[in-house]
Amino acid sequence: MIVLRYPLTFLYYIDSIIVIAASLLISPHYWWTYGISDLAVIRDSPFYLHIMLLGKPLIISSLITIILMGFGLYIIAVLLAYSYMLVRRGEARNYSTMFWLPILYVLDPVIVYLVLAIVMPHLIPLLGNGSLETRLASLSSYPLVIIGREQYSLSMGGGEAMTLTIYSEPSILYWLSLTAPVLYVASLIERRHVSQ
Amino acid sequence: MDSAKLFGLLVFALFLIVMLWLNHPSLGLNQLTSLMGGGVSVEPHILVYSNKSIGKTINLTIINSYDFNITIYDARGNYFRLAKPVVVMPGSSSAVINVINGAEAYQCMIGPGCNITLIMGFLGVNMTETMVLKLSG
Repeated sequence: MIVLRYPLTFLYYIDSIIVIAASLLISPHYWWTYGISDLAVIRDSPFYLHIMLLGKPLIISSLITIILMGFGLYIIAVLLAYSYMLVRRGEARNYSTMFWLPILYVLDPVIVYLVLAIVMPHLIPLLGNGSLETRLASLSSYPLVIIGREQYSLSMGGGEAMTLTIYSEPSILYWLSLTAPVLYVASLIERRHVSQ
Repeated sequence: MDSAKLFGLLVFALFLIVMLWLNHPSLGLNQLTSLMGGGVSVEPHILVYSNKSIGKTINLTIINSYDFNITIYDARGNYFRLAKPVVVMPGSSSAVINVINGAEAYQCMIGPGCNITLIMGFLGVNMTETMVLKLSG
């Protein structure tokens, strides 16, 4: 029986592998879902992307998903190699990717908001009749939703008005992924402690 | 770069090659441009009588060039009511609007025009559109 010098670091590696494997294998795959009614629905994680535009799944998102899955497998491979080095040679390597990914995913709705605020004038049907000024005026009231859902009414002049529901929700996989940053901080403290 | 990351890159490259070889995924750029084109147009057919009145109903031809259904829930105006809600599938369809007072509607339509507000829904979006019905000439 090998006694681990860095049990928390080992736990961080294993937990990260479990989080990525769960995101890759277990449906619903996504960490966040973000939608403007059914006009545009985005479900994503660092290893998955699914975009529905005007009720149709986008073909290009499956190509991007393949690349993102490859990225997930890359992290798993690196972490497996690090776990092997840790168990066999007692070397603890610093690997902060699975610390940053879940933390930065809080920014996901913000990024989606910025993208949609630029793309939205082209998404909303019938908006083409309005002048540029009306489009810009309506976008200034487009709400930023981090978690939850919000109604958003848009009046476009020319006797048109529409009501949209904007929602942004993390999935259970996202809450699971937050265990990795916690264990990363614990592993940092552990390595500092052991090296002293 | 350490050996672990090199190993990771190897796994990444192998996965990509296998997946792209098996799946033949396409970029789907045509889909992006085709989704953006589309629209709804409404064309009223008004029957005018010589006794300065209009028919009891107005037929609206609704042309939906989107890929999704549009539901007309209601039509409101001083002299108009929607006969029943209509689902407009991709293509075209007609909606019947009951005229409450043909003579008054005629008066308003030869003058400034009558407002009629359509209440529609598609893809979880509710939309109202007000248009003016007017008789020319």
